[in-house]
Amino acid sequence: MITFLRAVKGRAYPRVVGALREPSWMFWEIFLPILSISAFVMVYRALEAPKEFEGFVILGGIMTSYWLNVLWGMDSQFYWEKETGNLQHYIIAPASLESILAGMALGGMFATTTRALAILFIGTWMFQVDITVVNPLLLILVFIVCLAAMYAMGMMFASLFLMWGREAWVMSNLFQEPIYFLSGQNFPVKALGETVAAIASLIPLTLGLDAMRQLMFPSTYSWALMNPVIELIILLALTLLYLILAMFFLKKMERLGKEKGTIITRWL
Amino acid sequence: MQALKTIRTAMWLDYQIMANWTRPIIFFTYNIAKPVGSSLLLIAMYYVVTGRVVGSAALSFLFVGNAFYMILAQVMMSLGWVVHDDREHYQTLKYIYISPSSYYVYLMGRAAMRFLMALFPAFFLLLLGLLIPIPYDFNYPLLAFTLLFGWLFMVASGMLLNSVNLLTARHGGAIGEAFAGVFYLFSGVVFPVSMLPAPLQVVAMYFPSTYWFSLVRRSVLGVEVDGIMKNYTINQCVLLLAITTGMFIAMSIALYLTMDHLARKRGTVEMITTY
Repeated sequence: MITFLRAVKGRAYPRVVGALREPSWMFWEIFLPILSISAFVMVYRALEAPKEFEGFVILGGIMTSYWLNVLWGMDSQFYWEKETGNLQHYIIAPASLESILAGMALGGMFATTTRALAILFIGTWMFQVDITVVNPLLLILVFIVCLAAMYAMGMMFASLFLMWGREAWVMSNLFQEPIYFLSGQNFPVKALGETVAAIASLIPLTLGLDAMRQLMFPSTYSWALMNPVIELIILLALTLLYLILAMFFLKKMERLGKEKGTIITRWL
Repeated sequence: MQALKTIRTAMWLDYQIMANWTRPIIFFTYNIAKPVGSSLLLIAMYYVVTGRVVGSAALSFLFVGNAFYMILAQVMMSLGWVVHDDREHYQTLKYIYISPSSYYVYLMGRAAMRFLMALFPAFFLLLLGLLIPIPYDFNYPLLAFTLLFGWLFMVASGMLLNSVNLLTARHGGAIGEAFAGVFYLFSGVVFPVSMLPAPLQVVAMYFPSTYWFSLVRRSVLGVEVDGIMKNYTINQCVLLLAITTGMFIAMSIALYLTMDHLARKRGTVEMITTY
């Protein structure tokens, strides 16, 4: 257990320090995403949408920053580590790959939270969005469990993407816009119809966004997919499911990599 | 002649990196998934506000703008990654640097192929627009000119990003997309420039993309509904697109030379970051 925690700390450390040491990150991670969010807010303004919809965009922007971190900092990270020659060191180290992934997740969450907070404060100030939190405790719980489910999904995909090789990049790209649409990044996912929304609920982002929208903008309750407590329970189940699958695929990836000798093979 | 050879080789290389992991049909399907997802997102936003997904000037405006923005976004997204990919992934940047080719020209070639590849999804989206239905009224010569100049300003913009990347750490794949957000907001892509606050409208007028998107709408829809841009004639738009593109090219060359000098001085040409 001590080794596990040390490995988590060790892998989280470069991400935390990196986020603080590399000033250019601040520009790319905070200022530029605000521009895209502003564009979506302007679309709603041009369409004369209710003010709450602008809040949806800001909330979507915050959660998308975590989703992007999951995609590029978790899903494709093992593949990247292999390409830069680090993966073999992780495997021969006396620590589990799960602890390395957990460290990546915690470090990534820290770095992304700075960006998310900036988007929240700058976005709500710039567009004068009113947020009315009806149940702060439930909101915090939903947020934390949603992050846990997203990063657990990221852990699962990390090993899958590694097995798929160069397609990892392709998958990360593919999991952006289509997922933004399916998860209802900027609009209530109920608009997609209950069947599509139910399928999209396998993506933790979908349920997390829907629950948080209800808890932050109660006047839009009619657009809710389901009760936030039920969504919280489903998110917990998804976290557990993705963690189990992550452990299974990690073992499989390690075994296949050793058998085929692909753990140190680069540029494939 | 050497420059043309470099561009041709870089285009071939770019296609191999992008597409040789699978069969062409799968690659082209993948290539259109992202733009389609983006368009559906906007249509869904339109639907939740208006309760319908068919015909209006606003829908045509945002659908066509977004379809062509996808070209810009794909080029930016790819170019935002090229330097880091060459430097840290394939670790070939230093070899390209010591080859007789110019790295700037090499990047122009990489951008050219991305631009060509991004045209397919844009045309696919235009076909998809028939379902909504978007009232197309094509002006083909104008569209051809607009696309050609589009490539020039996108290369120049991509080079601005690449030049900065010569000095920065790896930020993941979203950096180019974030950079493209500048154009998304300031160019009247999915909402009229007149919706921007007055000081930002002035900023928008210095972007070639503002005139480019206006020309796109005129060549695809036959009209310009943006309150500000419709005050410009087609000829004025063309002239302003040429002038602002020239400015962007000059800026990109100046920035590239500066960043290239600094990168050599600081030794970041071989930098590897493993955050």
